[in-house]
Amino acid sequence: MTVSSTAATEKRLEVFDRVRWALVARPVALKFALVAVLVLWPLAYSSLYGLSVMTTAGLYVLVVVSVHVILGEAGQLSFGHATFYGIGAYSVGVLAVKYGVPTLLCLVAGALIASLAALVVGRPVLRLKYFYLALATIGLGQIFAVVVSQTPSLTGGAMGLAPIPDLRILGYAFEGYESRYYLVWVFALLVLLFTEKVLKSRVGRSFRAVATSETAAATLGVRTANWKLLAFVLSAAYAGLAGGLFAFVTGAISPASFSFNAALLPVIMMLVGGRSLWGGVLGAILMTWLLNGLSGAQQYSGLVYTIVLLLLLLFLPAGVSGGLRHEHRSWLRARLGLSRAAVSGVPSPGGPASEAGSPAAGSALVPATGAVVGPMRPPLSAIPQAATAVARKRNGSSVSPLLEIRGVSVDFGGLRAVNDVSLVVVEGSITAIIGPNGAGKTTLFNVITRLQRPTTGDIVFGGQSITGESAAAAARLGMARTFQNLRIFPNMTVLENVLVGCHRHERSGIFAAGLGLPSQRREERRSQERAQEALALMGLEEHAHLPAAALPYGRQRLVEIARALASQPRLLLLDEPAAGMNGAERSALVERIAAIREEGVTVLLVEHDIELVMGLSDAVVVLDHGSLIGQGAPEQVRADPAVIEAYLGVRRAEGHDRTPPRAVRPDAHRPDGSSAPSPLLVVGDVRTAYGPIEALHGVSLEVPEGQIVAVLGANGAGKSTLLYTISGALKPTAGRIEFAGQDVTGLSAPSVASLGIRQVPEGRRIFTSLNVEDNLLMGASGRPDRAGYEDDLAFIYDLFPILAERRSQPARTLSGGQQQMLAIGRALAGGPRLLLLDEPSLGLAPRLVEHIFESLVKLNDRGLTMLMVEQNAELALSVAHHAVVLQTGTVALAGPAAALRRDDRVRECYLGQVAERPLSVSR
Amino acid sequence: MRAGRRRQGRWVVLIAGVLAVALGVAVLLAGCGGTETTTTTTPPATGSETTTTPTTSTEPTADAPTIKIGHLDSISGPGAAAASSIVDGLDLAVEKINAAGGINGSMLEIVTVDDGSDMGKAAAGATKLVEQDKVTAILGPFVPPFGMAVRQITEKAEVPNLMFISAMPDDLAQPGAWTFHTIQTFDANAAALLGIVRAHGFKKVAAVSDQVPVHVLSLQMLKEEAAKEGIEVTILPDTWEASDPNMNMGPISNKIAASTKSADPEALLLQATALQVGQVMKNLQTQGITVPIIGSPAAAHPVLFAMGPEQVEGLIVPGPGMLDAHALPDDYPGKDVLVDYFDSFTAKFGHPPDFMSGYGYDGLYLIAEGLKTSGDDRAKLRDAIEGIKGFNGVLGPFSFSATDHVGVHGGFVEWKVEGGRFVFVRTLD
Repeated sequence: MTVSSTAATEKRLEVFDRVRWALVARPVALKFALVAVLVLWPLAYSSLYGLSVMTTAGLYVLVVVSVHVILGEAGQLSFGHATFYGIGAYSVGVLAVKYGVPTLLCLVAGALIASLAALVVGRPVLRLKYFYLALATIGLGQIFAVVVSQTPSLTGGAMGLAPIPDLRILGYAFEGYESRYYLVWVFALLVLLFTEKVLKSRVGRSFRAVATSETAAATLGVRTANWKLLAFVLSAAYAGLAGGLFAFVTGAISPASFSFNAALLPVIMMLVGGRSLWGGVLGAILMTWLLNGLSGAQQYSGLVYTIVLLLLLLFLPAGVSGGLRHEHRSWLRARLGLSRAAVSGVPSPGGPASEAGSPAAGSALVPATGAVVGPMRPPLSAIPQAATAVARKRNGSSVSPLLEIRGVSVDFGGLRAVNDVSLVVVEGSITAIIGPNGAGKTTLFNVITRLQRPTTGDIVFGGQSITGESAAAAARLGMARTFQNLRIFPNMTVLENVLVGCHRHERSGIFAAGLGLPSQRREERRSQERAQEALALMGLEEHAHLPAAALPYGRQRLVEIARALASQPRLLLLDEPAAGMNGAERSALVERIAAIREEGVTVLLVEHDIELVMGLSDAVVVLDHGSLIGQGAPEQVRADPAVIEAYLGVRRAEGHDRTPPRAVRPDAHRPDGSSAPSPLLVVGDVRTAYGPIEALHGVSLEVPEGQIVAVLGANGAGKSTLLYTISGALKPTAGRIEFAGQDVTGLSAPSVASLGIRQVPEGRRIFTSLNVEDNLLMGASGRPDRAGYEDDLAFIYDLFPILAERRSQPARTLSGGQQQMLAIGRALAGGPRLLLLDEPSLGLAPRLVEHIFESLVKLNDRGLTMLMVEQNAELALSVAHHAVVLQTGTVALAGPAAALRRDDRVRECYLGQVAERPLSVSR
Repeated sequence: MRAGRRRQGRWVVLIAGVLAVALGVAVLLAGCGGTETTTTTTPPATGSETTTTPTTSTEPTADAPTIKIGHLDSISGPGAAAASSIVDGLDLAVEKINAAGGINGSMLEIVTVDDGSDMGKAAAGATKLVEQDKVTAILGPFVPPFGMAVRQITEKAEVPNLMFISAMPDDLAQPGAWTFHTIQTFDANAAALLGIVRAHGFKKVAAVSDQVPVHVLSLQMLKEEAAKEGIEVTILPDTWEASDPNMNMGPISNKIAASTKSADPEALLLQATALQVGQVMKNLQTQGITVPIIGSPAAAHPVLFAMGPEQVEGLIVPGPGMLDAHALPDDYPGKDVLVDYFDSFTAKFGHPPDFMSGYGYDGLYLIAEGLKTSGDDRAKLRDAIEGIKGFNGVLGPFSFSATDHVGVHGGFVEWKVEGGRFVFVRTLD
């Protein structure tokens, strides 16, 4: 019985798999099938009503593509498409009826007039964002309605215009149902194919970049305002074309057809279709049939329509085709044993090298400098400046300054963030900016890359003042940067992210891309090669086709560097490139940065890892409170008493290096094994999956009450996943989590928090719009005893006095280090029994790291239990009682911190080298 | 967020399946023409004419084949309120016609298509009625621009189409071969208004209207015709867009008040929709305008009282006799038809009929009148309708010809609003 039902289930699954495979794995085949069905069905099944409905659906497809371009790709919440649809229709109507213009000319004019209208209103309107843009574009619709109703002699006013003559192309009149059906669908399919190619090109990448981070796009040389306008105009042209066809197909027009309601429907169709271009076709057909087909059911049609819509939005928020994304493809691949190439429909780039699979991942982290970097050398014609720079350097003839900062100051209201800083970056050098958190380092970066206007001062790049230039213009001169708080484009794959970096070397426009001109294809190939090289240099070839947002934090940082490198800059600005990386990754990064310099690229970096800075830099600049306090060769700066005082801390200068101060050795206040404290948290064989990909394959650990347990492991080992699973943000698929003897498996995050488990998430995730005090108050929500809050608040302010000072400042104005303190403070405000810390030292200056870890030990001495994920293994092991090493989702090692600290296997494992022998779990 | 995505995997197939089934059902039903509400009334088994409660079923049982009549209307969307009245009148008509034995033994079957107040759907709906349901004639639509789209389909397919849309000058000059406008238009309105002005002995009146074309045209025609009788009609410059029923009428009312004062008329002809008349009248009163106010035929609708009947107390309107058929003088032509309609409508729906219900009622009766001689044939039916003369409908007397596809050019009676009711004043024809 059981056996047969299982067999039946498997049989059913198999059918599902086949259907899904057909849907997903063969997008090209699916498109061909769709086109074939569209072409053939009217021949097989003749129904004029069906043709009439499908003709309407074809018109909607055009409008959905219009919406897809402006909203789905460029991320601009515009409702202008209904207006442009109307402009297209009325242009056709007025020209054909009132002036007797040839009909094909009318159709072209309709699309052109709509585009022109978009071009005129686009520039001012697109300065607005989100709801403001929505309101402004709805306003455009109102203006259109008023213009139509007030010019009845031309437009027929509220009565509309009719009859509109049949469209004639080369003497053929589109008057029958079939001919109109084919007319509309031929246009729809041509637009779809054209748009698909456009969106795959640099044009589409620019749209998507603008959608998610205009700042990052601008620093890669994307002139964001122009690209938004282009998306708007393209969207208007499609809508105008659809409107013109609508006028010819319906034979009559009235203003009601272009109201706000008409603007909503295509957006719904796009969402139903899953925000993909071809999904939109399905959405449009589906919704049109629902709207028309059910209209016989009279009063119920609205109800059925609404119910279907609600079901879709509730259970399929990503739309019909949206659920079938990358994870499912991988899952399918795993189930069906298909190669990636077959599933994704894209030949795996990089050839056999990337097919080698994950075992090579470790070794790929260590670059064979010469071999990998070699191809990065740009074609000499592409960047002559860089080439000459290399030549000059090789000749040893010059140490000309590439970047000069002259007397720059930046004021934020009354606060002077950068105070009269002057410095020179020599061409071909690596220059590091160090300084305590909040010293103004990132602000200075922003000034150089033109994201921040200086209050006074001048910036000269390559002998030319760029103080008045835009960020994009500066980038196009040859500078590229990364961001401390990552700004990758989460709506693109890793490869596409890096391709945006190639933007400034590309010239192709919409028509070259949409028509696939040879010049555009050559350019695209060059960019692909350049991007692949940049990926190879950062060891990311394996991940090229993953969504960038799916990578762990540390790798996203590498994506940013690769993206900046792909622009082949003369000056590369790196803002804390090593944050979130472990030892092996750091040393690989050092080699890579050195290799980049060898190519003639000048590097300016902000970094807290003092060893990295000292080993790598030619020159070091020290900022404190916005002022320059030291400058010179690394050794010189390191010995400077002012620098030691402000930044390094005395211990560093004395050579104590990475061992942080410990008030109390863990062993000193811990009784030996016999009376070991009872476990506060027990994690038993927990498995957690993202879609079909399992990130934790059965992790077990215990956190004894009053102790600190450190979780170590390489990027992507599952550390953050483990913390999120414990805190309830992720649900485990199997296993058990017990807290204080209570089963908390599968409880919601707020319930877990109210039991006393508080998390300090990686990357802080503070509430940027709230002030410091309100952030802390938010952290206190759900705590069982409100009474203790005041005491805890006082304690937090005592621990981090800077937070008390800035208590009424919005959290977004805090520096990175202060935000980290706030994140810890917020977790403490919840009165936790167990604190989950994810990378507490990330992005902090050495003195602050000392301060934070001293604070953590203090907290632990007060009896607080902690589970800590930390890249700095030595630091973590020096404060922890126990440690667990994760490797690809399983516990590779566990034991007392002191023992693990001496264990060679830990070093191997943690430093990311491939372990030849499986590590046994020792408890 | 990520957990949600995992769950979604299973839903993809399920929801896609549900949608596919829904779509399939929709297409199938639409294809078979099976989802329409078909109202067919069988005659009582005994054939007795005393039976007053005929049974309704969706299956015709008479021996002769049924005759399908299409009804294209805005059952849903902004136009739904008007359509529900039309449907009431149509239901009553089909019920009575079939109860009386149908047309030469054939039952009438109404196939309704909802255009959802959308022009594209109206066009597709007309195609469906013509091509799939193969109806003999089409009633509707009600929304003027839709008529222009639908007309192109019905003219091409050669199907008689009786629209509930007032004919414009072009339609009067050159009627579509297959298109009929079976409701009054501006000529009847102008004549009725002139009749009221004349009967009251006014020599100098002011007139103002919204931008509804029938209203604008009525006043233009009225001005010309009145001048011939030495009556001065001043058309005030103020006007407004009538499409928004929630519009604040305060500002425009103030302008109308000012213009009215400077024109100093004996009466004001206020041509506005029923929903807006009340607001304007109330504002005019507070501005000290005390002259009689004469509304448009569109105001002769019970929705006039929706915002409080006291606002419109004293308003004079031209309206059809059906508003209170028993009050009409006995010699009023067609009084028996109006009384029958008034009584049977009130009995069936519990409230008196409004003029829009007459659209559906008269429309079907005109088709039935044609069918009596034409049989189930589109071209013959068209000719038969053109041949109808002196037919007393509930909107007024109808007489068609090859050049007149409106048929009704009168039928208005003067009513005065008193205590939330329309009170009979005089006949106008």
